[in-house]
Amino acid sequence: MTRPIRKLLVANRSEIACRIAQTAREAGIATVAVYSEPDTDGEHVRACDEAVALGGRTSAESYLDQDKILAAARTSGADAIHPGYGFLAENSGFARRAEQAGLVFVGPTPEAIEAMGDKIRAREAAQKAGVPVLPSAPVTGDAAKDRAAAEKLGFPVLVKAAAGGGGRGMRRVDDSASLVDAIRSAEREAGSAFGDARVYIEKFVVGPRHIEIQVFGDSHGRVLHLGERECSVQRRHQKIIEEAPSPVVDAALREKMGSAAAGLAASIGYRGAGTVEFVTAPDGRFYFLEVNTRLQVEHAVTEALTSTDLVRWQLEIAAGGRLPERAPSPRGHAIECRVCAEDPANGFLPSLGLVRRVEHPRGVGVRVDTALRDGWRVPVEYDSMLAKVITWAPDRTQATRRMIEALEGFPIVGFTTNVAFLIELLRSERFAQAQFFTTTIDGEYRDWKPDDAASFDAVAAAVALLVRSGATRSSAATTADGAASIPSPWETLGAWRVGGGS
Amino acid sequence: MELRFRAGTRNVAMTVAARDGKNIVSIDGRDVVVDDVRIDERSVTLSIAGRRHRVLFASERGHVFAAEGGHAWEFVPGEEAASEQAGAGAFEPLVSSPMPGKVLQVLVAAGDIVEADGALLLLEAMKMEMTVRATHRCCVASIRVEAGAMVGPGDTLVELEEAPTDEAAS
Repeated sequence: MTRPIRKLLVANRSEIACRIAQTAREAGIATVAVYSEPDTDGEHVRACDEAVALGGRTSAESYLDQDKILAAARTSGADAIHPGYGFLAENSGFARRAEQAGLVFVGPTPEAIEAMGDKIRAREAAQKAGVPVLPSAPVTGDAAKDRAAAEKLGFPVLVKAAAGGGGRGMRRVDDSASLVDAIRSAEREAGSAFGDARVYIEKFVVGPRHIEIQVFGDSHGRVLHLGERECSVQRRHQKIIEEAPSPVVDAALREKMGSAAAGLAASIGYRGAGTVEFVTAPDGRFYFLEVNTRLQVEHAVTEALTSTDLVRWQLEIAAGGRLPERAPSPRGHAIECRVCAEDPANGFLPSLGLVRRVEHPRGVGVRVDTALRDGWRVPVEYDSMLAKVITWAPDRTQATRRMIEALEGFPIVGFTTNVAFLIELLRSERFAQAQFFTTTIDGEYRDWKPDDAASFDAVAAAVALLVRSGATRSSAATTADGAASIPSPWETLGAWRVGGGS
Repeated sequence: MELRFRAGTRNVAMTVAARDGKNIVSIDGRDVVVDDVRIDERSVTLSIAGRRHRVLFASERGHVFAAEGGHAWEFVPGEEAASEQAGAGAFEPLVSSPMPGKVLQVLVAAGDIVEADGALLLLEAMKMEMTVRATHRCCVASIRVEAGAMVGPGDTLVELEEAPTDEAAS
């Protein structure tokens, strides 16, 4: 059954909403943006053909409010909804309501979202499909039995919340003596974080890497995989650098992981874009982690590698179209960096404010997805990701150099970001040797401080020269939207000159 | 003429001179030779030791904000920085928000005695939590915000007063 999409409501914000709108326009589909109060002036509002105000400041009052989003679809006459990632992207109830309202939901069926959203059910489905899962044991509450179960798995083990996510309710345990305390504290944390205190014990992989497979299914029964992405560079269980192909996956392993992922997707009749996440061990064994039933932030890596537009694929499949017979061949190497409003030298705490000036990287093999522009104030209500930068080159070394150049050419004036940190990771011998594990940053970069002496000299000299040139120049710089005029230094710096003019 | 700034934790004093057609910027007494300077309303490009730098900048009320090579700074003019420093180290009765965000939970009440490094309240921004702590042992005079409130950087959260000393209490 084909259902052509004529008008698409993008139920998201910022860079991903802009990115979806771009593909929709290319496909001749009209676009509707929705926005909260803090996003009234957001870039995505400008990127779509029309925009509907949701009101509300918080996510719950806006992008997570299903009634408001469905009402916006109705009043704007949209016939389809793309949820992007985050917010309602993996909410089966919302997918169901959208379909009941006669809208095309650009994503998997509500049943598939539901089945993969529950960690224990997803694990069972993976096992049934023959995908390896990590050995695990239930927590019984009997200390002796739990110790025996953990010893049988072999230390180190991970105590993990059944309803877990984001690293909460999770404890690594290295010996039998500390097991019971770890279970109790994980239960407490899980109970307060998820309202569900159930935990279980799982084998902990030493030297873990996060490798995931991009899968796609259509509503005619075809499932493809588009190879892997390596996402082991993480802080606090959140990815900051992703790449493809993985430096540690060879053709045989790719085939094994790819067919395991595609087999799992096929076994649940998967439709649309999905990602099967694995943890891999240094010996090349891989174990199922979870399925993300949506487009992912790092989808652009696969796009660069395979010269595809995965949002276009999503739209065509949602409209009842067919996948190609075989997956496109990968070519070269692609890397993505997530530029975030956070200070790596201050525990990755939020660091945000007014974007006083910004310039975007350009050049051959460089893509930037962002909503950043001069004069935009980063809202505190939402995620810290400001931009994703993607580079492609014939090989990994060149793609890395290209990324360093791109990030060097991405000045953001107004507050500290993680750009300098990303550059340092990319320049490191550890990255060149692909020796990042998911635990590396939280362990080895805990006390990281920027090496900024050379840059400081250049900036300090520039500031001194600017002040000195003050007598001869005068012009007012204006923010992009003209809302606030930022006076130039020549107008404002004179007053505090020390020791009078030269 | 000497220019004084505070940039992050650094205090910097600079002078500019010209020699052999090049600019010599003295940064805390260290001479940096700066060549081929070009200035427009958004950026300064310059060369130091053969390396080209492009510094993007903006300014407001005497503060210069600048970024280069992934690093970003705010240069606070010397007089203002000096007056901030004069207050530093002394007892600061008003605790202000270190970041924009939402007050998740107020952990103390007026009249409470809080030890140095004791938690006062929880803030949240961008899905991250942060604990605001007392720098000195003190007594909570008043709470200026409530759970759920949105605060900007620098907004007053809690008012403190010096805690009675043990001798006074006994």
